[in-house]
Amino acid sequence: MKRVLFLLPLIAIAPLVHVAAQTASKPTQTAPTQTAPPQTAPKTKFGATLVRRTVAAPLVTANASQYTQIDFNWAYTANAPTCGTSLTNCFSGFTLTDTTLGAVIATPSTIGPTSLSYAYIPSGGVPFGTSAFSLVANGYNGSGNPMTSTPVAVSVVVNVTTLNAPTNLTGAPQ
Amino acid sequence: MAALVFAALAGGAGCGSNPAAKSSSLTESGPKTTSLLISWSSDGNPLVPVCNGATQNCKNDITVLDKTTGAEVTLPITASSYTATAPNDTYAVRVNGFDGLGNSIASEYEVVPVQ
Repeated sequence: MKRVLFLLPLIAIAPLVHVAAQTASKPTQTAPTQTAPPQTAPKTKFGATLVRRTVAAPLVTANASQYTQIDFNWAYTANAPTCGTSLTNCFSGFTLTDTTLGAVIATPSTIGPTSLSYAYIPSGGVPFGTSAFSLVANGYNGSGNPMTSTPVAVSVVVNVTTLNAPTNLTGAPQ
Repeated sequence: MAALVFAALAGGAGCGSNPAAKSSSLTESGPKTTSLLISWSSDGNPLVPVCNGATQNCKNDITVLDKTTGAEVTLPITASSYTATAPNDTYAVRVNGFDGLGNSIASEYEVVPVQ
């Protein structure tokens, strides 16, 4: 009975997902109300905000972009209970991935089931150009097998506006 | 004259074995410099990606300018040195690339300090 109760909301909440029974519900950004008509597409998405460099947070690399941090935020309505000691029929949290670099940034051990935001501080600062990220919800099915939601994506762009001259320039007569 | 002789003896002029003792007043008798090795440790933009054919948000190449003659040499962005054949000229180096809109941008010219 417990398994049935878990699968039903998955199907009801994610009717457009092809493999609804194998997925968790998809995180979205700030859905302020649930009163929109059922056929209305989500008006908002997984979001990210760039944070500028401050004196208190100097960069390791002096010539990095002016941004040191990316603040992610989202909304999420869990369709399964939070995982406890038993990893079955439960929701464990989120996985944030830098899809540009192919690197996992944080897993449910860091972004737990009650988290709706995450501050990412890339080593050396936020790189120039476009960085794409995805967020998925993680959980376990009734058999204890891991399952994930479909990903939601967001990109941040830091444009190059100036270039620095070469450093430690020297001329040695030969 | 006596001072010049003393300076020449103290500097080892004429032996040709002590480059560190070069003096502007003794260049004709010391080792003759034929080139200037210009080098740098970094292009100054470690987080900016190399263009590799792209034309947005990237660094493309390096320009070495002979400020004395106005001649320019373009080097790959990966270069870290250049040997100039006119050692007495004044040189400057800059980095070129593209901004987020695809416009060509460049750093300021950094004048090469000669050791």
